Amino acid sequence: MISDFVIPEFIFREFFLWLLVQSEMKAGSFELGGEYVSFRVEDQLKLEGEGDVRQTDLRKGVPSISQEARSSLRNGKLPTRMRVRLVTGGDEYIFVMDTKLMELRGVKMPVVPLSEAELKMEQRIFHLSQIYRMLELLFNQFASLRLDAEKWGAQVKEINQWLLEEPS
Amino acid sequence: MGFLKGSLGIKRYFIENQDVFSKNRDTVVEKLLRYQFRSIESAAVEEAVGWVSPFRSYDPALKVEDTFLDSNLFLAMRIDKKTVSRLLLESKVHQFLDSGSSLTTGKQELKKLKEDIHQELLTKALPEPRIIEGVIDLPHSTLYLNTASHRSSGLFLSLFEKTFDILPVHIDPTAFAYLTLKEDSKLQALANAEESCFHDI
Repeated sequence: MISDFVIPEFIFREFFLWLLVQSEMKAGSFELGGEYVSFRVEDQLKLEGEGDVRQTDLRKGVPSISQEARSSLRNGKLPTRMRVRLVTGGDEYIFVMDTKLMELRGVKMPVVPLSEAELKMEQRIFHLSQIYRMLELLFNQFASLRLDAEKWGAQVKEINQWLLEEPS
Repeated sequence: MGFLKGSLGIKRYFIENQDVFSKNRDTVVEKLLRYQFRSIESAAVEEAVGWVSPFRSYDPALKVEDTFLDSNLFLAMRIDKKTVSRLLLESKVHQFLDSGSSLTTGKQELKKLKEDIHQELLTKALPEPRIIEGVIDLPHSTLYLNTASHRSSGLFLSLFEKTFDILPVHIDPTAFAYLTLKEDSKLQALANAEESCFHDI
């Protein structure tokens, strides 16, 4: 599984920005592999500029739609950490993810109403793998756009347009 | 909170060769027992690391039924750490010197005295235990580690490597992209991509 390439961190920052804007424009709805999932950024959004020196931490509510978030994005900062509420197949997941390590923190999963450890563990692992499966499908969708100059150009235009709009 | 309850902080690793886990389950537990946790209470030891039962953190007697949960391998590493406060150490050293029981004057003698008192205090200090849990999803060759701490994950991986002669590969952002895209050409294109401009508009 060793790769000869290193994907620069800005790719993941752009991925987060794409997720953020798409989720705002489509009311959180994404079509992934034939199913609709809800992906919303809530309560926590960290934006960083070059050199990690300048950063903005937004907490509580829906930070992505705040004036401060758009203003930071317009000033060249990109999302590096966000708290996500993901709903798929009736199951709800909440977690914080970051661009530096792509690790998950504060992961909350549906309660497993089972007392037997073996079955409970099976369910918890299933839920964890569901989160990663969704993230992989989202990244796949982003990467196919990102690697198509024409399609990505249109996405950038759309994102820049969204950045100019006043939050409702 | 443990793996079976509450919120999690997850680091993900890929296990490239998991032959060791597909063999006899007793063999896996035997390997874990070789590095089972050993208490450092009453010992002049600062830190101890070892495997315990995931269901009984006080119990280093691991059993197959606690470790293998269907297709998952459930591991719990216990870290016990003892600390001696600097203030207490200094105070004990001064107390000893003021009592006149020793004529310690040189730097080396003072250093030796400090070390001796430190060792003595360590035997009396109570350890602070922590449990780091990991689950190997065997069908997907994935290790999930429930910790946000880099030091703890480092200790876990080091113990894992000593136990099984395998070092799991951290699924960092590049590995995440690799697992997702599965094509070198796409990875290379992403690696060479230029940054987009979303500002100064």
